Amino acid sequence: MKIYLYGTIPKQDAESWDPQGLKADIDGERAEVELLVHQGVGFLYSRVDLGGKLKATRKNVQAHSETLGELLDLTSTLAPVSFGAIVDDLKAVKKISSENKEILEDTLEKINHKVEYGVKTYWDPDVVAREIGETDRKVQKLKKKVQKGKVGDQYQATVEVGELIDDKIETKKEELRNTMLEYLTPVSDEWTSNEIFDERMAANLAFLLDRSSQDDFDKAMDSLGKSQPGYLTFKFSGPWPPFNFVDLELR
Amino acid sequence: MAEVQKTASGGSLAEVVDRILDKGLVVDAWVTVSLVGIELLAVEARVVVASVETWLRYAEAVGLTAEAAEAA
Repeated sequence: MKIYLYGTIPKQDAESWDPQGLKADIDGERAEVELLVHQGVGFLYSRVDLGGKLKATRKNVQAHSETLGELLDLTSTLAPVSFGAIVDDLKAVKKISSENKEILEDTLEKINHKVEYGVKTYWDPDVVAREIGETDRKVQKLKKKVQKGKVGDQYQATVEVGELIDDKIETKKEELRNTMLEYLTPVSDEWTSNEIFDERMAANLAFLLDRSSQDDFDKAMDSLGKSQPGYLTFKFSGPWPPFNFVDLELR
Repeated sequence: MAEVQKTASGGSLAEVVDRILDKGLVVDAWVTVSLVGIELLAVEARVVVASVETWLRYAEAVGLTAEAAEAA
């Protein structure tokens, strides 16, 4: 049997820990979620028998996330462990705990009573480009020049207009991010920016906030939406265990 | 006015993958069970995010909304 880890919880949560019959799903098997407390830090885990391999399938990844979601409801503070953390035995868990005691305590303190929300903003880049074409004087000037054939190299100048618009789009992304932060930092404690991996994505942010601030965060999202033009769509999700704010490697 | 959509956590595979594969506490040095297929899933999830946005736009172009699709 090996030990499949979900996350760590602080002393006060460990003292009142009650799994309420929670069963986790690990590679199709039902497993009990157990708690080990070592030097004041609680580790949530299940005993598993996987034969050396865990597949990163949709089902297994979703199951890990679902169990963490349920654990988030059963605790006040939960530092999630990323998918696939399976160690040999409880002795190894105790070693991880001892060797990372300080950083674990600091992390749990930082996320005390907190949850994460993610906000992704989408737009149609063609619509944004057209708007820039209609409002930006530098772009308009260069465009006119190209249209009137007053440039040396027509192709080169056309590319330049596009490049100029691309720059402006980047500036718009920054402005958008700042506007989002204006609305959302008063109702959160920390934020971080994640990779924008899609042309239609204009912002990809994560926020750490107190559990009691969730209604305020909802309202702030509403106000943000009302203040912004119709070509933007804000998609937000939560509450998540604070994955983006406990991003560290334990040795 | 911009549209604001809220989804429950765990509702979208892409959101889940974005978090649990490479964020959170990592104990790589201690892991003794090998993880299979992680890169594939990460790529797949991102492709899905990108595609769904496009598909929803096409659906909207023919007069459907995402809300109607979810209700169905």
